[in-house]
Amino acid sequence: MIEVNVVAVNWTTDQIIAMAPDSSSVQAARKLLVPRKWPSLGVNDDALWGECQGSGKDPYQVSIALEEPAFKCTCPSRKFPCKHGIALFILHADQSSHFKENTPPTWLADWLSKRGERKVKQEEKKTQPKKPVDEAAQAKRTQQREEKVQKGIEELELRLRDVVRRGLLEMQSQSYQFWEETEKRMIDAQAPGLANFVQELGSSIVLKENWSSVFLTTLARLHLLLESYKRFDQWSSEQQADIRMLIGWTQSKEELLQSQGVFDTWKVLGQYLEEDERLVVQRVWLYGEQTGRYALIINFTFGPSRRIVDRSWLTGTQLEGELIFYPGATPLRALVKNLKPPETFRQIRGDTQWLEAFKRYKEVLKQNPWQGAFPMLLEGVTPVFHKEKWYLKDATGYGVSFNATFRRLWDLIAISGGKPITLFGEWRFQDFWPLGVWAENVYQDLAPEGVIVA
Amino acid sequence: MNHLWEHLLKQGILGTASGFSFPPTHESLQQLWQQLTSHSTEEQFLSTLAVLNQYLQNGRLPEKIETPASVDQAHEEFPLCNAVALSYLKTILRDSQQKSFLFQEWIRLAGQAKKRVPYELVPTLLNRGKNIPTIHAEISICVGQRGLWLASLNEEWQYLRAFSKGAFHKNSEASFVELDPKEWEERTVPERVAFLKYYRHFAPEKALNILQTSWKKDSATNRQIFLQVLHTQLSLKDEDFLESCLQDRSLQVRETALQLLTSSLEFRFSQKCLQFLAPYFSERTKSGGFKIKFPKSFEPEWEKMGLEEKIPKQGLPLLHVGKNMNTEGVWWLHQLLQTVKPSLLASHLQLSLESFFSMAQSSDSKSFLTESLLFSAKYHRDGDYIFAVLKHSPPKDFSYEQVELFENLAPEAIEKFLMHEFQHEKNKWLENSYYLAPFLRKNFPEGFSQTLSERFIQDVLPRILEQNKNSYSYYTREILKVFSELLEPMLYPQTEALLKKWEPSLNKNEKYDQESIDTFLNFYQFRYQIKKEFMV
Repeated sequence: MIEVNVVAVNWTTDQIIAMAPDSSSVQAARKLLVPRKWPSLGVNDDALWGECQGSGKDPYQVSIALEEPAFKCTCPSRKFPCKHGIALFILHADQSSHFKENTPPTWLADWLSKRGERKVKQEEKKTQPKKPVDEAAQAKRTQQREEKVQKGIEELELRLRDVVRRGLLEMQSQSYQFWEETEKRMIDAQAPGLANFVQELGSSIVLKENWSSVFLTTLARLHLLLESYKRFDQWSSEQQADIRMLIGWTQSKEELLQSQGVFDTWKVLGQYLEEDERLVVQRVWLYGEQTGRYALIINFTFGPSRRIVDRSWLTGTQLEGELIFYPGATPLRALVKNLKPPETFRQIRGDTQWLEAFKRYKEVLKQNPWQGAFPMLLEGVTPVFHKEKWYLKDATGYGVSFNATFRRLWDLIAISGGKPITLFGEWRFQDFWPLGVWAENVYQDLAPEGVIVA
Repeated sequence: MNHLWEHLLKQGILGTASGFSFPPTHESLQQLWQQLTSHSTEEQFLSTLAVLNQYLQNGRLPEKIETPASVDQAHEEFPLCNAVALSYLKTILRDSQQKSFLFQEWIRLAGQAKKRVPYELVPTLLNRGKNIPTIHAEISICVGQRGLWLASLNEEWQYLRAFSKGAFHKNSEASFVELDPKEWEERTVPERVAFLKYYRHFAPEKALNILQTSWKKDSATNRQIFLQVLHTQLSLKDEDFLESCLQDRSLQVRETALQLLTSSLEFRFSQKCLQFLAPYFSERTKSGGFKIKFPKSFEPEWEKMGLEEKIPKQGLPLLHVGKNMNTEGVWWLHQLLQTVKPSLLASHLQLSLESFFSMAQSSDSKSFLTESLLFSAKYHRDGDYIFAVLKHSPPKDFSYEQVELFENLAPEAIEKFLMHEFQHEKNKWLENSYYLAPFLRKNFPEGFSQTLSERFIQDVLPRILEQNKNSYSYYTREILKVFSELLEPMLYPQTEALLKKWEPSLNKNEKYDQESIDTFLNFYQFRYQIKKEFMV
């Protein structure tokens, strides 16, 4: 029996700042962290509110609905949340004694009421019957796409053979334009998954450490995927789903949400952002307390709003509810069907040996040879300096090295103090990339700060 | 790296145009390679790569690690800082535009309050504090025992080793603990300075003995650094050693020893120098000034004191030497004047500093004397004499000349003059932030004292605001920015109250004025909030 003590989330300044769209918003918010700038401040169980004096005659009306949280402000900023929202939230986190009123003003009550109405409408919409689908048109579209993808794959294979013939040394001196162009061709071929692989190849060439090995690993995986696609009919339906997902086919979220999900209490163990020219990708790892299942939530943002990802995920919290898994041989990627508000978790269990974790990994590889980064949660591991490198050693004396892009190694060593800790992260084919650590009854985020530029 | 993978890696780097061969391996994999031979060379390479990658992934095992972990066994001596103070630190660390000043102030306050940071912030503090030696002692408190343990694992943080036993804390309230003398010679220079300072604080004579154990082996640079530690608890017991340093082969060491020996009238050396000097100041002009008699011959004793008989090849280092002056005598008297602080000479002549200065101004060799005395005052960091000079000088902007004058003076001496300047505003210093701002930041790394801050708030701030009521001034903004960093934080409430009373006049630049005030207040308030948390 695992005892779990939960604590309702009291938003900390760090968590609030993580919601900010960029660092300049945080800096601007800091200038508003003086109570004298706020002629009125109030709070009740549902919301925070305040009026912030700007340069105009009338102060800006700022509101935060605490459940999500959701922000609203009358300032003209296009950023979300704006500096006023961030400042109000931080002010409450640090100096709650300044929040006197508990009867919301009319402008806040109106907003909350409209939000309630919108939620009801959204629920109603889910139960309404769908429009009939033109199956013939859909089949035609699917076929057209298949043809495009096939052409894209053929072109990609030509390019990869060219890379291999010329050698990595020559590729290293070539401009990044080669990879950018190949990436664009894959996008045009409606195979964004392949574009991601190409982007990974291009990025690995500029790595300082071990670049050639990383490049070849990615190349190996890509080639396996392309060859697997050629033999598509030989795979099970679940494996076909994995291949299609990796190529870049998407599945309708609405359809998926109709299927049966998995109920559990999902712990948020780690998350990070990756960015390239096209989009920002947010990956959030969850772990089901009862089922022992991992789930990966992936969010994308495109265009001008690229930095507005879902900032309600808080590492170190858990949410009770239902997730829907995308079909696959070893499903990991999931969608949220419904989840309750987060609570801080106070206990966590994982594998006690690296051999256990590797055994799980190999079981997955048997069914899904295209598996990418793999989640691992280890109890009782200790950072150890061995043969000029740092390793994570378990109680049985086995260890793995850290991924070269892990920038917070010394923070982890400081937290550990040379004593065993519980650590979550991704196994990235050759080494481990930590994302969260449990030590002294607190779960801490180890993700890189800000966005990883891919 | 696995040898099969390495085989492919080499070929991958050179390219299959240079040839391709399957990695030599056991039979089961060889059988797989055989299935690829009908493909093109590139396809053979790619497929072999994919198969091998899968093979290695599936067969990968963690490594056996024999090395035991290094464990931090120590108990923490100090409690964590509170959550609000911590949030302020995170704000400072997060803001890339934030000046190092705020970080140093936070660390200093935390160190004085004996509070530490959570473990995950320890590496950040160790990195940020690396190149700021003035806060190393406070950093050692803020990072706690965990930080000291971490420092032992990472070469870049070796600067904390000096504090590894805790006994080196300059704020330590523990009673004196004898340290292993071997550590004196084995440690790095910063560690040895900390070691020496610790001993000098608790057992000054022992510090001197330790210093002498390695004196002959240490380099000139190190000898000069260590010698400066003797400023603390300087006494007659240091005299013999310091006198021996006057014969050191290093000019830097000789100069440092000279400064120490001439810092007090008690030292034989000071008395000797003054005895040599006094006769040249025995006569008066009709106006009551000094009638200077220049030496006619070079006394043998002067050589032992470090004076040089011959004029330097590049000429006299003085500008104001009259045509009819005996240049040798000028050179010798100038050197004699450099052996003591002007204020000590005044005391010896039983004159107040004001009188001494006045008599020098009325001297028949006024230009030479005032220039030479100023040289000496700067060399000996004689703040009192420099203060007298500035008081009687005509008003001047704050420029490089003032920066040079105040160079190396103790903050107390500079503060004395600033107090006077704030009250009387003789010079137009506040209109030129170009030199003043960096000068103040450099000389008041820990901010103004309470007294100086109060003087600024009462006397200077209202003047600045009044003068700039109707126009925007770039300098106002810059000066306010500087002082928002320097003023004593706990005076913020009264400063805010003062500014609330002041209403900027409506004009086209009102926005800028208000923005300057807001920027000043915001920053100052932030410092006030930080300090308040450590006073709880």
